[in-house]
Amino acid sequence: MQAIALIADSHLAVPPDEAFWLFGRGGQSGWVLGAACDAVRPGVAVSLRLPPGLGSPAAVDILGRIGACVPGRLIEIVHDQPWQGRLRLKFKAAPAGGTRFSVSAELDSSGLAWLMDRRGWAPGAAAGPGGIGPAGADVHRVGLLTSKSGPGAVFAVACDYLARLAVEEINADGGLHGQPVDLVVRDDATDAGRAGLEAGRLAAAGCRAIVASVTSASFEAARCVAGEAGPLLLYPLLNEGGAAGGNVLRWGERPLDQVQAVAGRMMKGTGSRHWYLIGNDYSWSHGAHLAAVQAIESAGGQVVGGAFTPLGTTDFSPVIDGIRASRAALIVSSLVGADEVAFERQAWSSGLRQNCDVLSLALEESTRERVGDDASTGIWTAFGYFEVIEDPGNTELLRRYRAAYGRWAPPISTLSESVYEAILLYAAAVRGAADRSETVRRLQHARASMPRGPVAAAGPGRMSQQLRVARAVPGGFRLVGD
Amino acid sequence: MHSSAQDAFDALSDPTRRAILDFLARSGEVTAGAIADAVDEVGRTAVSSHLRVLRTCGLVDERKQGRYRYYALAADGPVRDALAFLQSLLNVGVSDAAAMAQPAGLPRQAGDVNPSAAGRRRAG
Repeated sequence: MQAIALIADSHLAVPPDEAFWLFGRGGQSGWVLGAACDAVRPGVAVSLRLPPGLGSPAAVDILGRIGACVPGRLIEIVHDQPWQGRLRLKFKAAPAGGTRFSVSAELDSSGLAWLMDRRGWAPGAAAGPGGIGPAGADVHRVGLLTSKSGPGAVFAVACDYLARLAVEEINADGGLHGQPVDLVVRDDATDAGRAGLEAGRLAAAGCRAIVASVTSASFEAARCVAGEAGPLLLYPLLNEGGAAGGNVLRWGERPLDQVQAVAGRMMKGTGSRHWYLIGNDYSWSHGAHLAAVQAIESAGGQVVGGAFTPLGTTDFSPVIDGIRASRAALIVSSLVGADEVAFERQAWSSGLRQNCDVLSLALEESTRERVGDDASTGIWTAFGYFEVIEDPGNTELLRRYRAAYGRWAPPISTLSESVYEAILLYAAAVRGAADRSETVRRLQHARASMPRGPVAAAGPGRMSQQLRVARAVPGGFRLVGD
Repeated sequence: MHSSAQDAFDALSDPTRRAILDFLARSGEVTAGAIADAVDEVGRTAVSSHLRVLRTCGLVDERKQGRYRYYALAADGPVRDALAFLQSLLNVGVSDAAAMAQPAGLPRQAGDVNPSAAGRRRAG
C-alpha cells in the first residue's frame, strides 16, 4: 500500500477568497481543525489539532508546514507528526454562492499503523501493515522509541527520519554480520507510562538495541522495563545525567556545560546578575536547574526565582507574572517541546522579552521554528550540533536528508542528529564485536568523526563533544564565537 | 462512511460481542454453533444477530461453504476501524469549519462554533 486518501467536504457560507484567509488564525477555535500558523505561505510551520473524544483519549496534534498554496483555491500541508502525510484544503466557488470546501488526508502504512495503535489495536495482533510482526531469524532488529505525539512531538520530529537514514547507510554497507538492520519505531506519546509499555514491546519484538529520543522521564521508564538482560539502551539526547552502565549508554550534552558556556557572556551583555529558572516538573528540569544554579553562581550571578510547570502546560501567564515580580533580567528555560513554544511565544507577546534575555536549554531547530522568527530572535542556546555547522560530513548529511525527505522536511537538530550518530556508533561496535558484552565495551569507548565533529565516549555516561554557542535568528541560528 | 466509526463503537460497547470477538481471536474460523457453545452469555439465536452487527461494521467476516457458514475476525477490521476514525475526524473538522465561516458583518463572539447557540447566549 502506497498511500490512502480520505476526503471530507462541506459548504461554506462565504466566498472562496474569504474562506481561504480564515485559515491559520489559531487558538482553540482555529478555523478548520484548529489550524494555527503565523502566515499562509510555503515553508511556514503549521499545527492542527484533531479533537479528543470519539475514540481518542487525548487531542492529536498534526505538525507540519505549508507545502503549497494558491490564494483562494488551495492550501497543502506537508506534515511529519504524528505520521508522515499530506493534507489538502481546496476551495471552489459553489454554483449557488459560497464555497465548496474539501479536506483530503493522505497516509501511508506507518501512518495507518499509528492510527491503529491510537485506537487501541495491539500492534502485530492486527497483522496490519506497520505493526510489529515477529522478527525474522535473519534480521538484526533495532528499536527507536520516539515521541510522535504529545508535547515532545515538537522536538522529536526528525528523529525517526534520521534513524532511517542511518539504517539505510548501514544496510548499504552490508548490514551487521551479514544481517540487514530492521528498524521498528514506536511512539511514547510523551508519556513515561506509555514509554515503558512500548519499550517492553520493542524488547519482546526481538530488538537487540533501543535508541530513545524521548524525555528523560520516558527513558527512565524504558530503562526500568527493559531491564539488565534486555536490549541495549542508548540515550543520545541532551539530558541531566542519571543511571548508566550495564546495558545503558547515556550520552548527549549536559545542562551544566550549556549554562557554563553562556551565562558569563549573557551577564556581561546585559549588565545584570539576576536569573530566573523555568522548567518542566520532572527530572530533566530538576537536574538542569541544579546545574544552572551552580554555573550561574560560579560566574558571579544570583538565581532570584524559579518555577516548575507540568509537562503539557499551555498557559504561562502566571510564570510570566512571577518573572516580572522577581525583577530578573536573565532567564534560563529548560522547558521542552510544545511547552517551550508556548512559553517563548507568550514571553514575547507579553513584552517580557523587552526586559529579559533568555537562555533556552532545549530550543533546537524544530522548537525554534514553531516559536517563530519574531518570538525566538535573540534567544541564546548551546548544543554540540546545529544545522548550520560548516563541516563536510554535515553538508553530506544534509544533502542526503533533503534528497530522501524533500525540501519541506523539518530541520535537523542536535536531537535528531544524535539519533543518527547513535545508530552508526552502535553498528560500528557490533561489527567489531564477537558478543554483546564486547559490543557494550566498544560503545563505552566509542570514538568517531561525525557531522557534529569528533565525538568520544568516556564510559557509559558521557559523550565528549565540542559545545557551540548560538543565538536564534530569523530562519535558524547564528553561531557565536568565543 | 462516517457512520461506520459509530457502528464500530456500538459493536464494541456490548460485552457479549466483545466476548465473541475474543473467542474468534483465539479460535480462527468457527461456526455460529461453536460460538454459542463457547461463549456463555449467548444462545444460538442471539449469536446470529450479534454476528450480523459485527459483520456490518467490518469486524467479522463470513464465509459460506455448502450449508455451513464460518466466521472469523476480519483481517482488515482494525484497518477499517482506524480509517473510519480518521474519516470521522475530518468530517467533524469540515462541518465545524462550515459553522464557523460566517459572512463578514455578522457579529461573532470568540469561541462561537454554532451560530444558533450564539443567538441563545445573546438573548439570555
